[in-house]
Amino acid sequence: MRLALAAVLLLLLPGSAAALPLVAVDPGHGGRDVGAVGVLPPGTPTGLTPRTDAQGRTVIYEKDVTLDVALRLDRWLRARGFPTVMTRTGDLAGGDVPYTTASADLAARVTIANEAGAEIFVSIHENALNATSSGTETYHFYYASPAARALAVLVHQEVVLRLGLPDRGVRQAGFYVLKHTRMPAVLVEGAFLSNPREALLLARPDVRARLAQAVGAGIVRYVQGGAAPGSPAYGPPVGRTPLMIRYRVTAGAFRRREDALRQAARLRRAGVRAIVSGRYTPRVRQTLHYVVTGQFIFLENAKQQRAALRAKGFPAMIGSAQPPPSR
Amino acid sequence: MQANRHPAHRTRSRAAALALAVAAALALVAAGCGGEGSGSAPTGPAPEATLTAYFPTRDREAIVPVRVPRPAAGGALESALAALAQGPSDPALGPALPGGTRVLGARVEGGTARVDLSGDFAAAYPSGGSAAEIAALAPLVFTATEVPGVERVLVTVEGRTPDVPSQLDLAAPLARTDFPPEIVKARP
Repeated sequence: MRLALAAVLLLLLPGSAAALPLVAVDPGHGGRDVGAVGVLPPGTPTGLTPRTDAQGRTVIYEKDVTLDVALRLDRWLRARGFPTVMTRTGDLAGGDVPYTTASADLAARVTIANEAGAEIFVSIHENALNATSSGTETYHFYYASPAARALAVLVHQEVVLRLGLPDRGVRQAGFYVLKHTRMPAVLVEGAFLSNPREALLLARPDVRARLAQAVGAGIVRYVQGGAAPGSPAYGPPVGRTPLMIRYRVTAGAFRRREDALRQAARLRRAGVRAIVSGRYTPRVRQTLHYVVTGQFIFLENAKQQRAALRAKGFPAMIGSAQPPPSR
Repeated sequence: MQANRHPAHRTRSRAAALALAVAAALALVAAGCGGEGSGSAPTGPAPEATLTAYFPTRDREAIVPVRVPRPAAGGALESALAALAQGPSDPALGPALPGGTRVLGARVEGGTARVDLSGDFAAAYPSGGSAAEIAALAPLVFTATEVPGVERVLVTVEGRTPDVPSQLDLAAPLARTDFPPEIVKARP
């Protein structure tokens, strides 16, 4: 699988593997700057440095999550022939020095990437707002370059696809590392540490690995010129096992595929993304064509999607995202 | 299957949604707040009697422009910041400045509003999260840049660059272009 992907890259890019762009991997926060703090059930194992807050609660720091994800991403990229540079490799500020001020920290990260001649910059963060805020955001600085936006879109698509959390969109903001780096730069906010359920997800090493792979897959797509999933240049999927997605919200099931496609078109006209997916349905003993409008990890998010569809006047049902056991 | 019962349901819902949209549009026109920016509506109050302040929704996911009465005394920027510090009257909206932050001073210099805040701002500033940072700063930046002649906002805390772990460049003035445009929403 990995060999095949590397082969695709080599075919697409003239020259040797050295022609792959240098990627700067930036783990957000570090040292005295712990970043956002998530609260976990007591004693939750994280595979990270155990942390407790002043009240003795088990917590998870953004700085630990970002470093873990960034190290995994760095390994993933190197395994595929990408040269990389990391802005920190330990529990320290940018440049692996003790944290002094935000401006010194951010300036060091930018200097490392600029001086190394990085061609892609990816900053790894986790989000915070309130306990019910949920999903993935990817930031670029609109006034930097169209390439930054393209990179943001592709990385974001992969993270949303592979984590299955709500899509909060590609957004633009004037974050320091996005403004001052000379190469296309994005900042990924994978999930919300302020949301206890998403904090619990980020506590799982397999979820952090999946997040790292998703960012890597987005970078690969960007390097390939924005190949779409399913196209030959896209290469084989990374981490294809849908471990986490449990619910899907459908807006109709049809015996005839044409009817399903018509319903999907109606949904798109109403601003709802929809795909048609055929699945053998034991209850009716035949394949039905389901109009799928979203796949979710959490039942609450699936219910939100169902309510949104019904508010627009569409039928909506929550079903299992996993196909039924084979006959 | 599900498809059998939905068309009638859809038509009914669509009619209801349309009626709601029409009612909302009429309400907006009647209130004289259908337009954007500082232009005055012919039927609304005199422009100098009100100003626009931005307050976050209770969940802080968005900021909402609100026309508020302008205090009689003080310059345009001071009035706008006073309205911001006072907070919204609408219970669906929340405080604009984090954790009881007070505005210590403000002046305009060449398109930049220099706004000095109390130490509460640094103490209450979020430790991380783009969404939380945007929620902490967007109401201030959007409200100050409603004031004619103000394009950017330089935030200081007790006279100095705030020592907070921000991903934004707080040593430089912030503009509306530093924020995602989709956080600005109409009234909830």
